[in-house]
Amino acid sequence: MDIFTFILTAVISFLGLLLGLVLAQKAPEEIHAFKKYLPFAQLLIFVLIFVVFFAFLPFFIALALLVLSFAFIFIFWHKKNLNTLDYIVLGVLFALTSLSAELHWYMTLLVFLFGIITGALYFALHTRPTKKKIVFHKHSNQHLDFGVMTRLLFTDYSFFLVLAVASYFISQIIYLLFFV
Amino acid sequence: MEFFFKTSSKTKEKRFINVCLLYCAVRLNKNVKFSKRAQTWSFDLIIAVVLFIVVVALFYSFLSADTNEETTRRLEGGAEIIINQLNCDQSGSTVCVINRGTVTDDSLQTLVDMTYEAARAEFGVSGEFCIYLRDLEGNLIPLPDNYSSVGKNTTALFDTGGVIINCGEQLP
Repeated sequence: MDIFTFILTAVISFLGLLLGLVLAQKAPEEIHAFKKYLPFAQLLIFVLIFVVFFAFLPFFIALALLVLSFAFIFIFWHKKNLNTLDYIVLGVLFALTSLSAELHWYMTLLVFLFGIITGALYFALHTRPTKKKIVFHKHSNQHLDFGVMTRLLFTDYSFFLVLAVASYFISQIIYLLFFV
Repeated sequence: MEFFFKTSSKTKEKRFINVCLLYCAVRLNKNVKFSKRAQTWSFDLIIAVVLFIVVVALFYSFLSADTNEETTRRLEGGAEIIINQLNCDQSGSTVCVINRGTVTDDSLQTLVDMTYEAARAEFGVSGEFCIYLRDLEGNLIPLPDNYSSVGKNTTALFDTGGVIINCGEQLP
């Protein structure tokens, strides 16, 4: 897969976050009502990603990736902070899926769906439940402008694109240096 | 800074990275103070991410090497099937062109008249192909009706004096 297609798919999958935020902004009451179910939806999509890996990659490589990913998240999970470890794992694994066009298509779709849930959860975690369209910060009375929310979301998650592209280049370099 | 230099050497790097990241976070999030802080990029985490990337890159390389070998094997297998089908002594195919070591014009005409998809179905291969004849010196031997070759016409194969001819096209 060429680098331009890879970057384009990475950007498309990343835009799921923005869509999640937009949807949450449109229906803040519903998002707060279903907030507790969103992590389960995230976990479901995360498991689905590994199901796809088991379907497309050799068993032991998929198993090794599964163990490494969950061990990584388990070790660095922080109870109080906003955890973006799942996106670190997805960013690195995104490069691996560029081996197969079909696998990459599934990965892009699943990361996009994961992004919608994550974007909605991000909104729910940082805003107060309200019936109005105007949203306020969870603890202060500060009005949260959509632009500010988007900027903060991108600040917290933009490393996904950096990691995906960096992993892609490192993989290509290692392959060209040691396997060609 | 004084506080920074008084710390032990072990934690110096970690503290410096945290200070830099905190500075960046404050600069970027100056309008809003969120209740949940963003992911802390500690030195341990950065090392773990780098190791994770390297491991995944190694997996990528192993798989990529396997895929390339498999593709080569598949193409070689397809080429062998077509060669056998073209040999009338080895196959009873209707598109065979080599009979007792001789290529006949009639059999070539049959091959040229067939569409690419029909020929592919007759050969029973899933991959794309291009069949052309060359003499001992490597010069292209035109097929009947001045065709350069038979095969997928999106593949550029011949460059005759600056004019690129796709597979399956007529020679100028």
